[in-house]
Amino acid sequence: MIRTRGVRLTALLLALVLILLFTGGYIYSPVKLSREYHALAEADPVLSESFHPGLEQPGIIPVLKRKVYAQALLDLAARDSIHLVVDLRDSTASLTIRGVTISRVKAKAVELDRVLGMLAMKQYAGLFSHPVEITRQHSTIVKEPIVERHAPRDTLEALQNAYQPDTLIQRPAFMELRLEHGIRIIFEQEDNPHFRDRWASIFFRLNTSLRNVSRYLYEFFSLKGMKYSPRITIRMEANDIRAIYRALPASPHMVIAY
Amino acid sequence: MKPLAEIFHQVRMLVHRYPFAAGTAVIFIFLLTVPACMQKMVIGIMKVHSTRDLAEPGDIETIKKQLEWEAQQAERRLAAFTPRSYYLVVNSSSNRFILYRGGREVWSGRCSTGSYILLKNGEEQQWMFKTPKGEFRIQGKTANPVWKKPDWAFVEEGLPVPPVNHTSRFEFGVLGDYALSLGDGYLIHGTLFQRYLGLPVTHGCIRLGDKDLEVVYNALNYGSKVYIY
Repeated sequence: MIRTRGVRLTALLLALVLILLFTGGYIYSPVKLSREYHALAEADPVLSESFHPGLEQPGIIPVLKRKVYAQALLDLAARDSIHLVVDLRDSTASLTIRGVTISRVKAKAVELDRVLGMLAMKQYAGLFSHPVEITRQHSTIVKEPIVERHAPRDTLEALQNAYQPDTLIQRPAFMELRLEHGIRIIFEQEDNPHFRDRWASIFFRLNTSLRNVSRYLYEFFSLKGMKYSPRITIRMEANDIRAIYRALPASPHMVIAY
Repeated sequence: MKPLAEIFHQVRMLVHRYPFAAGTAVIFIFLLTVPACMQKMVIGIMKVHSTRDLAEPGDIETIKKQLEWEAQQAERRLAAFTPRSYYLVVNSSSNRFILYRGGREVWSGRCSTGSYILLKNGEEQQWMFKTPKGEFRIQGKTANPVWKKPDWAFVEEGLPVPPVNHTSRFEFGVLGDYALSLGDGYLIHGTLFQRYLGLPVTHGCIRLGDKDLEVVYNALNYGSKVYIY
């Protein structure tokens, strides 16, 4: 009995220590990320050489951001395929291909992570003056809604099985894009009029939180160091989110401005 | 109060019976909520980067002018990518098209694009009916086009596949008044089934209504760009 109690107490203490260490790492991760971004900017020799301290002045920041944005778009134009551009200054999300904007939609609401909003201009330029790779895409939308049909044996069977497209039923539109440097962009449909949409919204947010916590747990137990993942949330029409998700190829890039 | 006390008692019984599961649930809920809340508090008190005393006022104006000039140069180079003549943009997700000239919208309307049907003919043959995405150029223009039916057109109707140049392969009038070729067998053409415009029903081609097709056919030339997403 005493041995069992001792084992239980030890297990409890161990669990408590692990939870405390995990929570501590979790809480410290934004500070660590901010320092990583700073180190990234300092390590860039071109940026360090060309970046004048005066560029941090409030009067110059909008012009510098305009230049950084234009530079990143020029880099994006050199790449093949369809890519995404998100400009939080005018709340738009665009699709571009070889420098041509083929779709521009207005977001209903945008939310920027405070850690990203606190970046110094040198860090901002270091992160966003080039297109950022989208490393993972996750969505409630089906990328290619493939319908399998078997060839009919004769004309009678062909007539009986004539295909009628059903576009009335559409899945709720929620999408998460994970970028390099750990940034996450989350697209949420603005209107949730039906119970199915509200449930999909709750489930998606829960799923996103679970994935985030699982990632933290994995990093904690693999001793890789827990990394904070800054988040940008964009709310827009469901059809626009579907069009964006279905247009993005397997390894797209994106340009962000805010 | 009584139902609450009963619920509390039931929960206590469950925890006593399944301590491991109860402990896991508590830890799970804790990990989902508490660290995130505390993290938000820490972010709230993190300092914003200070911008005071970093340069002389005279330098700032020079820097600003230089930056504006560089930004304008970059924007001019970017604007050069947009075609000055007509180009077409097709949204295959919502089945709409927009005709642009020099970046300005000139005409728009509904279209039909690929149905994403995967037609299987036994184990050996299959065809995927989807409209490709990307940048294309008009490679040919035809008035009163004749459709040369490929093999899948017979397979999906349950008909035997005829020889390559058999007369039954040629159908008149089904492609509308005009057709524009995008290469690899993909066309922008008309349709007999106007009621299906706006729906994903084609075998990969882009179908337009009669009036829209006429406008697009007259606007686009050989080499004009078509963007499909």
